[in-house]
Amino acid sequence: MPKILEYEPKDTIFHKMHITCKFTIAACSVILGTFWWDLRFLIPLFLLVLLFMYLAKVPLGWFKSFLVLVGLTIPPTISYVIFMTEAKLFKVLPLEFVSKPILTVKLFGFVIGLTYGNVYWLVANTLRIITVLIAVLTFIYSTSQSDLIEWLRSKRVPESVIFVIMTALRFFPLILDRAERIITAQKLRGWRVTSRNPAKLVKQIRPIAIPLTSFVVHMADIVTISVVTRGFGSTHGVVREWKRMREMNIFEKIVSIAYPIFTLIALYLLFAYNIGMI
Amino acid sequence: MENWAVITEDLSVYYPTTEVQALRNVNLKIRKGEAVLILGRTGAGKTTLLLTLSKIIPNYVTAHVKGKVFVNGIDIAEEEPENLAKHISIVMQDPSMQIISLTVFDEVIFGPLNLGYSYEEIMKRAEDSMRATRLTGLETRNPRELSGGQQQAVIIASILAMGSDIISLDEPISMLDPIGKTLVLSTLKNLKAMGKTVLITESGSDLEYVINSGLIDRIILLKKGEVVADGPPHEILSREDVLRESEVNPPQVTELFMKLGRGLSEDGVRPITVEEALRAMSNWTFKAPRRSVKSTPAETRRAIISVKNVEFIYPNGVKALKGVNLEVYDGVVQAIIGQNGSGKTTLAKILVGLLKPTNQDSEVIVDGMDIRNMQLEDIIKKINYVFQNPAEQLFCDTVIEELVYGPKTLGVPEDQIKERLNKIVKLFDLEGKLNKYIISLTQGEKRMVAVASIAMLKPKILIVDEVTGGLDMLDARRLLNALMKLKQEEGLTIIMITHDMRVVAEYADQVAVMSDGKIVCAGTPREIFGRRIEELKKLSLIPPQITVLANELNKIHSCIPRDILSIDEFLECVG
Repeated sequence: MPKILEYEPKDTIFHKMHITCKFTIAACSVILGTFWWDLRFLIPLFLLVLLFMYLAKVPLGWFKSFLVLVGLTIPPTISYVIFMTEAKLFKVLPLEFVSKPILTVKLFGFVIGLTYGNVYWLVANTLRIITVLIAVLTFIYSTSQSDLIEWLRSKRVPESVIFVIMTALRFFPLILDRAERIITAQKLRGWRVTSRNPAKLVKQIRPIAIPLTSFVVHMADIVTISVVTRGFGSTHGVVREWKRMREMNIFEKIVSIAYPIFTLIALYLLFAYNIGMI
Repeated sequence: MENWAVITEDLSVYYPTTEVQALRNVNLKIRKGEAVLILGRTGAGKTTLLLTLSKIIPNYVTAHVKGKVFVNGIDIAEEEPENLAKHISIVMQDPSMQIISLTVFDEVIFGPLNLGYSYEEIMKRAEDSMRATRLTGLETRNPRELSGGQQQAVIIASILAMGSDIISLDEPISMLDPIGKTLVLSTLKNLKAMGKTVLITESGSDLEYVINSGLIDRIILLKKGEVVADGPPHEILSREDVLRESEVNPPQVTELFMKLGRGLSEDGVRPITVEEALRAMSNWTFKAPRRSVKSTPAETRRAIISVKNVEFIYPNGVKALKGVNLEVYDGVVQAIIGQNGSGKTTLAKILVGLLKPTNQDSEVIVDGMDIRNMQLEDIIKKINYVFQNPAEQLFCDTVIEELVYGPKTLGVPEDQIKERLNKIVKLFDLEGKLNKYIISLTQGEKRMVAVASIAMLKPKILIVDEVTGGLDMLDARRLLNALMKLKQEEGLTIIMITHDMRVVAEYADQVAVMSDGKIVCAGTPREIFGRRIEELKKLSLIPPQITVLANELNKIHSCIPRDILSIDEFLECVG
């Protein structure tokens, strides 16, 4: 079973898809998920990326882990959403809808609480984060690292950038794994978080932070040795003959052209006519 | 110059940050196609030598380098490390840290891809190198899911695919189980047969494996950065004085012949493998040993741990334990051995409460308490666990801070901490080191501090997971002797998870052999290792060299027991 954020070879339509097409789908979904606020647009986009995730057979565990993180962001978001009760904050949604109170109180002349408007905003914001996450997770899960590296090289991305992407993808799961082991090792020495005071908290996480930092530094040294002695960076300026990637088929070509065009049109409508805004 | 794979001329390396002179005037000439073992204790300069040959030092690790190095006739001062990769590559100790890609195939083509070969060339090289390293069929597997030995084979395959002529390996088998060690060494033999030059370092604990593989043509013995001996294996391993001075133990059969003052020939050359020892002993006379040391039957003691029908299934569906039953007696050293993935560590984590059995009808009783219903804080007062890597545990600046951290966190009164500290410091030989910075300690000292810091919590049972892994023999013995003193003085029960059969033979009272999530046999080391070699092979066990020798001799001389565990015991059999 792959660790979180690790590619797994599988025989799914997404795994077999040309990387350009796959990247286009992920990038366009991320762009639209970032800019759209209107649930009428966001919900179909969310369902679309959910379908991609299903087709790529991304382990549900990945999604659950991130869903917990997204869930954790909701309470702090609510803490400032309750101040967004003024109808003028919304440009597109009908004023009578957004100003309709659900649970509000008047405090020092200000109305705070939940209205249809700020609840709509909260739901849209959460859905945007989830949509973007699913698009990225599906791309990572279904894309081989070699394919990604070669594709980035074919796009003339600098080697230093490729190296950062490559090591992040490979070693992020390893760091998570090590963090878990360090926490276990310290728990066995009686370590536990007892304070919510930020200053004390920093002191209390020292037993985890220091071994983890030293592991990351050590790992960076080993990775450097490992990649340098395997010729990484030795072909700067050399024309590569390696062409492992097949040509795109007609479906992939259509998707790779149509989805960016659709995205561009959507962005134009968004900025010019507020379509997709709330 | 064309016959030499490596030439060093007055090579010296100095680390300015730690003020360590790692190599001193090293002059070497290594022939193409030669397999060379670079032998020496931790800190002898072995890793520095390999990193300097690949020019990782000084380009990526800061150090002052003096002298000349030629690799395949190229003066490395004029080349960048990444361009030297076609000539020389390095394999490090821990394969999991070196693997970049997420499939075996991606990893193997990583090097050739960087060197800009054509598609056809890369495919051919990948296919050839995977065949040579016996990885064919595993192309789409995630290397992380392979055994340690296979992971090292993946790294070696990726180097092979680049066409490197010289393959240097820094203690490549120290973290592997016996089968993994054998797999890597047989892969290296294959490469040697292909004409590759192999440089392999070793600190002594796996020397017998390396020698038995028949891979090595020559040994270079290093001590504190200097070459103290250089020659064929028989010559170097027969030089008792040089080995003693370098604090490196020879193979057990060689040590036996040294103690007997005998050799293969008049010139004092000793046997280094079991086969050679058997040939040399063909006309010797033997007698049955007196068996002066008899261990107390463990069954007469109280079982401090009782595990019944424990099963554990990981969330991904892997069934790690399949109904384990085990009793550990109070005050004994219980070894748990078996291949990687056999369930040893999962069992240990269940014993210490980090994992809970996944079946309801199981039982885990530790010191009379069912730990399945206890909090970790209470469990660790009874039983604790020391991880293999001290880096996962140590975080304080000084040794004393590290030692008192646990008791302080658990709220132990100051006077009790002081009293405990005095005892632990003496037992673990840490006097005079209390105010030393952790960062300045050697690997062996760090491991000692890691174990001592857990011993400070005064558990009744201590689980040590591969506690001697990666240490040289001297450091390993220091640590084990400290644990034995603790056992004697406090009646500590020790559960030792290890691949080192010499450690099991010398220190364990009881052994449990695990395979595929089950305990397949248990008993004293004598009962386990006294089985016929063929039976032990079925259990994937490779007993200590001296036991193998006894086992083989028993086939001819029935007076020699098969269960001999030490050299001194064997000496009693020689007439």
